[in-house]
Amino acid sequence: MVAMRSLYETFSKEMMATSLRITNQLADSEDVLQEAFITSFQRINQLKEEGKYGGWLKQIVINQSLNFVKKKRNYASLEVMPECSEAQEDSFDARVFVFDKIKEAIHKLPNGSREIFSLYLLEGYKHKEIAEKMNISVSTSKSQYRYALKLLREKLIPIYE
Amino acid sequence: MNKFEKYIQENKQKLEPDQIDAKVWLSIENEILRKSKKSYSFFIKTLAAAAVILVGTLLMYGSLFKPKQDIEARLIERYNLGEYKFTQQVSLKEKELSTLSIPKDKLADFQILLQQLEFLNGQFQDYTDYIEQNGYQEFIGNQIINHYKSKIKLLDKIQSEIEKINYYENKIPSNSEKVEINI
Repeated sequence: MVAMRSLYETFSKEMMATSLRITNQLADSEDVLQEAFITSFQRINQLKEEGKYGGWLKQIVINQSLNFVKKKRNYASLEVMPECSEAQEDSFDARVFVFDKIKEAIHKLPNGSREIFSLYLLEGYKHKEIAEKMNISVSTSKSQYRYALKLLREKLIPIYE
Repeated sequence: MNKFEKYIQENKQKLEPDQIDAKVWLSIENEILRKSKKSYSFFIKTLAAAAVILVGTLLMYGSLFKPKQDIEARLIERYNLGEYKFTQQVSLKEKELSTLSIPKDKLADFQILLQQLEFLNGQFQDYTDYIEQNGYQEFIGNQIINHYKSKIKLLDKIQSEIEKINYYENKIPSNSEKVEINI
């Protein structure tokens, strides 16, 4: 049990952060985390490469988090998109922000945009993969990502100024 | 990707929560124990696999930033590996043996065992050197587990030999000076 506990200690915070950005509800993510670790321990013999436990567990957490929220959210509505321009290179310097503010701003993003922002920028998914996971089009994933970036700037700039 | 995206991506670890409610682990533990009552053999296999994966995970993560001379100490510190049964057993056993002493004239009896111990320590260094150069691989993880098992057996043997000598020493004391075995 010590080995399982150590694996939990090593990965739980990262997995909780990933799940929270999808569910946006602490209690829901705690349930997801619990289920994901139990699933991983039950199937641990199927894992071929020991060093890949973290990545494997992350897939379980993302899938379970998305399954959890799909019961409540209709991602089809994301197809109706506000106009949004391409993200540009600019002088916006995020280093002035404490990360708590950024974290808070991410959690205040609308459902759908937040999940896409997280999966694309923080989890390294391609827009095609996101589109498949969320049953939306690739262009919706891209435009929702840009929309999330725009909202984050708007939320963070007043603090900056 | 602009500066903002890059900055968030590079610092994503800072978006992690400071702590997680202890009830989450307790629920996981309860569920595992409940399942283990249904299938004990499955539980044992799962535990063994988790132990191997833990070693692999720690070595892979550790190999990214550790200096090779203190790999073990860093892994123990960073990932609380001190709780891990093999390292804990070895460390306890070494501590216990370091307090024991034997008559100096019996020291020669331990040379072979001490040489074996030195060999094992060198072997561990070889494994960490290999990981340093080539990255973690499954067979190395298995070798390290076997290494710990062998070391525990050897330390047990040394302890048993010391106890045997001291038992006779108590019965028929010799005048030889007492010395510690440097483990």
